[in-house]
Amino acid sequence: MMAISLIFVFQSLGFLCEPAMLEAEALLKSNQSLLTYNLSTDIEFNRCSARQRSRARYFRLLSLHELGENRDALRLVEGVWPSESDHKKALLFARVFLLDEPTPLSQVWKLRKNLWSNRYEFLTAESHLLNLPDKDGEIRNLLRDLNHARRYSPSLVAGLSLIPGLGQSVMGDWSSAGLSLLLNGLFGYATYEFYRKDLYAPSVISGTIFSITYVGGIVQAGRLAVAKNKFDSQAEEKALRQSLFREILD
Amino acid sequence: MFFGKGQVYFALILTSFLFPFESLQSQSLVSSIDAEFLWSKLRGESQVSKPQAQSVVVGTYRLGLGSLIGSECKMYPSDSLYFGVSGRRCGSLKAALKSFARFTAERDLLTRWPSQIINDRHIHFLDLPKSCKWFE
Repeated sequence: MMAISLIFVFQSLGFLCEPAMLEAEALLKSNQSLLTYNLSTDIEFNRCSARQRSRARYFRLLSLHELGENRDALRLVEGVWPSESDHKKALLFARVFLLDEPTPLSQVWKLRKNLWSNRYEFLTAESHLLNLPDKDGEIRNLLRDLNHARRYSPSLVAGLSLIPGLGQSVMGDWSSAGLSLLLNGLFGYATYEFYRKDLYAPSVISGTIFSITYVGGIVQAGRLAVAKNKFDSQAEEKALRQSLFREILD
Repeated sequence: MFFGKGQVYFALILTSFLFPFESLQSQSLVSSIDAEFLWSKLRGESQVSKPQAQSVVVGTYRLGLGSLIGSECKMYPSDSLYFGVSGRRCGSLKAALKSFARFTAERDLLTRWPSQIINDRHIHFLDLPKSCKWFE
């Protein structure tokens, strides 16, 4: 009872704000967006200092964006901010990440935004980089690494899968390749045999399944390529994002 | 016998470093709380827009065949639920093809899937039907 009363006293005096802020920051860094949002909301509506409440509000903005709740994030930016500097930062964040239409941005931020949206097209992204300050070529290197890590073209791999299993085997996915070849062979052959023996109803059923396995195999190869690209480049992508937008992501 | 038991164990421990648990070490863990939130949001949105035939198909499967054979699905959400929500958002044909692709590629996808979650004390691989693009 005593401990609970002490917690209430500490909370009402704002002593627990700093540990809560540290916890919220740690949660945000470990990609716990919903928990960050909840804790930051508690901090913002508690008796914490204006700096802490403003920072918590910024954490809420970042976590809402991570959760894909961009409309709520925009509403949050438009509201009242305890600190003017954080409000400016939030506005910049909104212009860079939340708004698609042309927004009032300085030349450097415009270039950064364009570079980010064209990051998978190396030559276009590099053209934006020409007028951007890049200390020790850090961004250029990250951009090169990112594009290097994304090895597979989904449409090309899907195209190769017109021959069942070929696209998957190019990527070394032997299990999927084998399964695709097996299923297509099985249902393709069954359809042909049923048709040859004038068994039209089974032929139609088998043909329908064959069309699913055939087109499904093409989709599968494309999905595998996308997943592999994403997997292989996620560290580079994170580093590039951090490097480009350090001021508004910290 | 050329080697004693101790030597064999020692050799096994040494060689185990040659085969690191790549799938566990290098994949990024996503918050399961966030994943649950996003999934329930997608489910809610699709139920509001179109309560359709996919629900019947998925419901029948889950209550009938699914409950008999049990679910071993490593993906989150499971293939049948993915089909249900994806079908309402993107149409039955696309959902069927994407779900088929997901089901048959599971074994290869799992070694290099970008996001993992811990759900129900097991590692699952997060794949939400957010987009209607063919390859996403």
